Amino acid sequence: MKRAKQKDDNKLEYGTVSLPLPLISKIKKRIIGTGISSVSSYVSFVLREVLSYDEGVIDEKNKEEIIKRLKKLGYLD
Amino acid sequence: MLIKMPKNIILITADALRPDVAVHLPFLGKLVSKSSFFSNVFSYQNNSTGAFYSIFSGIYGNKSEANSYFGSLNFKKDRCKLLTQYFKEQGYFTLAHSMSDIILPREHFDAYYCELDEEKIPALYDRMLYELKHCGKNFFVHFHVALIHTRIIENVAKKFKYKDKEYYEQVEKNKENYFQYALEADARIQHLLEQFDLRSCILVIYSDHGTTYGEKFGERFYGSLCYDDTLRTFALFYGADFPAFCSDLVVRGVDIMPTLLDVMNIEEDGKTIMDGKSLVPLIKGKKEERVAFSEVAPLQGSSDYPSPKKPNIHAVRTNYWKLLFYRSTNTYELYDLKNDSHEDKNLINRGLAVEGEMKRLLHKHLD
Repeated sequence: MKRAKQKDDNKLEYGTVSLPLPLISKIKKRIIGTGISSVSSYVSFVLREVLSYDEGVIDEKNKEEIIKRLKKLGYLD
Repeated sequence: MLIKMPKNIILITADALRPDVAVHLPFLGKLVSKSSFFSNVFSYQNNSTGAFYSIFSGIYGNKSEANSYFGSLNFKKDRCKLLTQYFKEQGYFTLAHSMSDIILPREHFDAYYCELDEEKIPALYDRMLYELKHCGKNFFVHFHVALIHTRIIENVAKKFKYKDKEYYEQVEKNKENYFQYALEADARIQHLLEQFDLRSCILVIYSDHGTTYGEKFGERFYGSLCYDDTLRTFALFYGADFPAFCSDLVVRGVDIMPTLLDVMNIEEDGKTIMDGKSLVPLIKGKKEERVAFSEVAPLQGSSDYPSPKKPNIHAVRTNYWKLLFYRSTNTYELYDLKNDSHEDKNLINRGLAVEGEMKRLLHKHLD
């Protein structure tokens, strides 16, 4: 199959943020053995968690619609 | 030069059908021997919404945000192009049956029917067959054979709570019951396919997720934990482009879409990069290790740590190893599947070199 090349404008660009050095030291200790390769990766991971929590807020009306369907499917009492 | 004629596309989701059972069914078992069959297809999620959206988008739900039953509300359409859209743009008539519209994405279907009532399904299928016969175009159709789901809800979900020990003490009985449900699903698929001239079609039959018989306490059927029995599915490709072939290599549900595009010579549009990769090279004999990523977002009443809107158990799986990460307790499990296929012996923190590599693979997805 012809696999599309990722366009240049589709590449992720990175910026710089500043953190207090003691915090960086704590993060370096925290990520040992986790598979997270760098302080930047850890910070991205945590921030995505925080932001996805906000993005994941579903309005009540839509939530009720899903719950209604889940009950119909038998997954909820 | 041979001209490649457009083919009709028939997709059948055999909801919750286990691969080890599918091969023993009277109809599907025979079809397996005439198809390109993958028996180790790992689903992105062991709930239908996450599984379907990943199959139809070719990307995992952590990217599309269709990562739970509530995910259909969060689905980021701009991050992918749905399989249905590719065929719609090729001029196909697109038609679907789904047991619920929170499961199969509605977008780009010319007609979309939701029906869960098994008594009404035969009449619905007759209607859909009539529409296909008279559409005057090539067609792309999806049927959702949900008999196993229906029987499990009737006989397990409504009778046993997830902590009822009785259920987990009758694994053999659960297994026998499940086989009866699978026989019903098999007969439904056979009856359906007898209505088609398959010579002009590409047929893909797959399950969205697996099912457990209750071997692991806390998981009655699927959707609560992240062990293989609930994530392992199959994909069967039948048609002139697919030789008789069988593979037990680990592949993923997200690989189904790029395989179809590959065989139909439809180019990806470059809007997004799919997580899935075509299975055609494997059918042609290439040996390749693929890493499967899965997540679970347990509903209320199905887990000690429910998280219905956001996955809280994550896993990566290779041919021989699996790592699970439980976000709620910040704990890991590691299994050597070559020697422990039932995932009984947790090898985390034993100093194995593979642990770091598996953690790296997992966090590549989570980051």
